[in-house]
Amino acid sequence: MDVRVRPPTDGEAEALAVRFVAGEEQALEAVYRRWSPLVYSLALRSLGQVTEAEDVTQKVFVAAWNGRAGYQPERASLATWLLGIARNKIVDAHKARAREARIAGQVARNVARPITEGVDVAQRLLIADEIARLDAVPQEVLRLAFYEDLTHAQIAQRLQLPPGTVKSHIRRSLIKLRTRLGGLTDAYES
Amino acid sequence: MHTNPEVLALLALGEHPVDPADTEHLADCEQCRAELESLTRLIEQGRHAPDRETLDEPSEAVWAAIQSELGFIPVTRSWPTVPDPSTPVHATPGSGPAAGPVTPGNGLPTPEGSRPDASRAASGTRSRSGDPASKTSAAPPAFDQPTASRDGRGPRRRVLALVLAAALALIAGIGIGVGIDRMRQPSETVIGQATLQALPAWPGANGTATVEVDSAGNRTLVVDLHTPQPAAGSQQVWLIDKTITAMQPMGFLNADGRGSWPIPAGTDLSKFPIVDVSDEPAGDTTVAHSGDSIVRGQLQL
Repeated sequence: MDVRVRPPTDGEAEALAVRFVAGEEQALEAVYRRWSPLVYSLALRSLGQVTEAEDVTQKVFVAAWNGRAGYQPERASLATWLLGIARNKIVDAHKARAREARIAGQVARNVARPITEGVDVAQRLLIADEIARLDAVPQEVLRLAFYEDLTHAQIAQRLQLPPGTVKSHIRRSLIKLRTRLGGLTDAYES
Repeated sequence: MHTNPEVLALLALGEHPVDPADTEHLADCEQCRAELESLTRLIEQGRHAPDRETLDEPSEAVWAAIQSELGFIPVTRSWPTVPDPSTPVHATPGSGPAAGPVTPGNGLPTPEGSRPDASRAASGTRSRSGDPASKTSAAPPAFDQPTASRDGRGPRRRVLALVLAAALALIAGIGIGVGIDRMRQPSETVIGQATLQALPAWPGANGTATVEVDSAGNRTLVVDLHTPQPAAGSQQVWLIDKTITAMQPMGFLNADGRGSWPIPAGTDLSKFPIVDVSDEPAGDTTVAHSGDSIVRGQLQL
């Protein structure tokens, strides 16, 4: 049972999801432009090969389009849903590779690793991508808090901002991130 | 009163509680604790994400392949396909052609109005957050990619695809008719065509590429190039793969901008569908692509 309180979803992505589910071809292009680097990067890191990663990317967006009726916005963000599909396609690609390797009488040494790492890599890429999309000041605030471990008071001093502003940037950015990452774990479990 | 959400965020980041009342409240309040845990998990994940990790972008051919597989007819060209010529190419350093239009040709010139926004193309950056459709909604239908649908879905698209295919066949037919009169043997059949579009450094250049097959199964690539300004060097024709990473030199055009070459039997045109014409400096003795592409287009096979 999901007892989490879901914060209001990001308006822009929500509107896009509606258009996408409704079957608007331009929405697919917008979805592709927005998330294909994420899907492709995930596939590339897992498969290590441009051609296969591109093939997976193609399959993911074709599958997403054909299966758009099954997308449930209340369960996962569009990004999360796409990453879930991507993970399946990447697993398929690894399986196909393993099959080929077996046929060739080779040991498929690299099969297990990327599958177990899938969630981590996806999560990492998604977070990095979403942080990069925050506005400049909140983004800098969050970077200082995340990667330089500065307190809000130190950040305020560093950026010459009132501490209250820093605090509210931190809070709002975190909520925004959480919304956009919404349901990543759910999607992997399903 | 529940703990201030901003305070919860700071606590999740690891700051020490300032107000003892917060600590007391958290001990008692499940709701605030759940929120704190949720934020803490998020921050943990965020801290594990490498700072400023950059994402790779798939090549433009992937989107074209998706459109093709789904049987879409692109109404607008809503993304720059003519990026900054200085954009690095994922090929052998210094040997690759600049990224440019890889528009499957169909005998129809792209209307000027639907050309990619020059300012965005020149900046060389892709705005990934904007809605690309809204930026080009005023562009006229480009009608410039036939639907080579592998498994196009939906009867409407199928019909549309058939109509389009018929229209293209007609256009191709006219082209072939003219071509036959001029230079071709009647026994040859056209199995692939591309409209070659100018790269930014060569405004006004255009051309066509045709693949013919004779009764014995021998394939010939026929290329016709027009440039408004005379090119200084020699014009070399290449077949390039979809990712613009591998290429095969075909040969040089004659002074009249035309040329034809046999396509080696082992060349899979579905893997090397891009026809590119480069300007090779006079006296250039290297075999590599100069990087100065004049026109480019994708064969419709």
